[in-house]
Amino acid sequence: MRSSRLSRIVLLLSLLLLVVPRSNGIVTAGHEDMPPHGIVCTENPTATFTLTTQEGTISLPDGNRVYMWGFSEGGDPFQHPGPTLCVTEGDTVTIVLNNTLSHDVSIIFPGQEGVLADGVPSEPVFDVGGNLTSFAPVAAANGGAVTYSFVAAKPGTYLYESGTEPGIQVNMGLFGALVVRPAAHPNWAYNEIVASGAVTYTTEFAPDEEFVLIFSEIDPVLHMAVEQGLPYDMNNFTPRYWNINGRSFPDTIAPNGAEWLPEQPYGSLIHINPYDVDTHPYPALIRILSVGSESFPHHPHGNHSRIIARDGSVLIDTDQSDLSYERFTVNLGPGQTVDEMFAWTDVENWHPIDNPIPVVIPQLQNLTFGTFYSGSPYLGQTDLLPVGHQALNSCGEYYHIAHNHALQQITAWGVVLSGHITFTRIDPPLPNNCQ
Amino acid sequence: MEKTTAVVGTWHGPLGIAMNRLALALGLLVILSGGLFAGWRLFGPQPKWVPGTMPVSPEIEEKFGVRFTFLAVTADGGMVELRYRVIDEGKAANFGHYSETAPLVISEDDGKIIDVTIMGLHNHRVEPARTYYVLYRNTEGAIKSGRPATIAVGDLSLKHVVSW
Repeated sequence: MRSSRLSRIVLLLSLLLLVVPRSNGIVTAGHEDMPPHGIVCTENPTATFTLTTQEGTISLPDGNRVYMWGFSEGGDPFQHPGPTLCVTEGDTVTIVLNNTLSHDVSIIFPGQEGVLADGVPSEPVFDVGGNLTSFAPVAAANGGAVTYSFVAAKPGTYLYESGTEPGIQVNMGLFGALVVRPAAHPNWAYNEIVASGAVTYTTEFAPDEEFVLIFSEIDPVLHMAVEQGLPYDMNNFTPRYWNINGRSFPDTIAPNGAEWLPEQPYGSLIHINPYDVDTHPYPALIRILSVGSESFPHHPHGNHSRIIARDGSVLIDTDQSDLSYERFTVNLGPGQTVDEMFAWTDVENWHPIDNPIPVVIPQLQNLTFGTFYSGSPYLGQTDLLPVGHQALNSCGEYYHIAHNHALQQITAWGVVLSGHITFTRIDPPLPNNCQ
Repeated sequence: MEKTTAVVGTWHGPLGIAMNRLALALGLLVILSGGLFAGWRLFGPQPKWVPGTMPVSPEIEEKFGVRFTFLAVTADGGMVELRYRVIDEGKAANFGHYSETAPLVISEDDGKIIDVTIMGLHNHRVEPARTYYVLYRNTEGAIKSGRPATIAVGDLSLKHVVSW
């Protein structure tokens, strides 16, 4: 009897051994240095940065690669766009420009006053014939350097970009974002307390829902000419690619630091949680900038956004009254910046059982299903989809497309559904099972 | 009542070996094998799944006129992106438009499948050497970065693709 019991134990143990889990052999994708979404700030306590010009190439979703120039922090390798510099109101910002390119390069800081270059006012440069050669003193080609400095006096969202041959050099990639945070309220976009009727409010935002979107365009013929040292007539400027944060859709929704985009570290997926008065009371802050040559009508689907500032100036009247406004399309002019706030709010508290939407949802065969529909109109819910259609999405989350409404600009050299497109992803309220 | 005691004899099998001892011996053999197997699984050479690994399938290229080039988990894990380059625009014109030509992505860890219903217009113009993409919802996180997957299209498949 004992040996029979022992035999059963041995058999059981041996069966258990057969299901020992295998170690997975994962080689991690290496995204650990950056949050998967949202702003990636380059910052330091002294607000001193070294921007080095680099050349490199970027990847585009139609399989092409394009030669670019870019600003990188210190000795970092080429990246596009330049690092997002985050400073605090009142900081004396110092930027050392080291130029490795074979062209003179400078940096201008639209919206900043009293900018110095090597200690003297940064002013336009003219040649001996009186022709404008640069909007700011240059770092000479092949190793020159210049140091710019200014006091970041006003909170807001700003560009920094090349002031030399800007038509060419900005298109080549010499630009980045500068974020100035209020000294007393780093989680506010601006210092002002806005009066809207009898109500006052601030521009406080959810700190983990802050996003930067830089809209740009690329004429690959220009880039090829620069790479090969050939002349280029700006009258022939014809963009073929349109990028957000240096990426064209669907790369735009890939995470920050995606390993397959080593030169293009910044994603533009707007990933948020729904408004909740107790657990998630503040909206997302989306800082939008353009270095394009024409207006980009950026159109986030699903809900209006509230435009709270343009070009680093909060939309407030002299009596502190509210001048912000809601828009479903943000018309973004060349060189402009716009700050918008957005919160997805379940206003009616729809619920499939407790508070169903008072619309009879047609039968499955009478519906057309969007690619990202979970089968249920309720956030966080999933339901049946037709046979042959995917059964669930990740966790009942919503995806709202956000795209340039000049539809020729949501292409990649003629391939549709690329270019200026990103998504807003709204997860079910926390806790959820999203992966 | 007369008390009786049952005497249980030991059944010797056809080989004359007590069955309980035979079971014990077999069990020990299995546990030894299992231990060796488990040790191999735990400590033996492991496949290094390198993100971005994309094998090539001449059969798929011949039949469908496309070469898969890229698989990545994107949108913070909510979507999966698959790219392919057009090798033969004639064969690729209807790629993805029928169940027989629509690529599925299957996790090699647990067999979870993601698929897509619509991939544009039939007979749409595709250009040779251009790259096109397909977005999938990542059903329940089926596809994971750094883990192997199989791309299946029609009766052909491409195994050991490792997602970014």
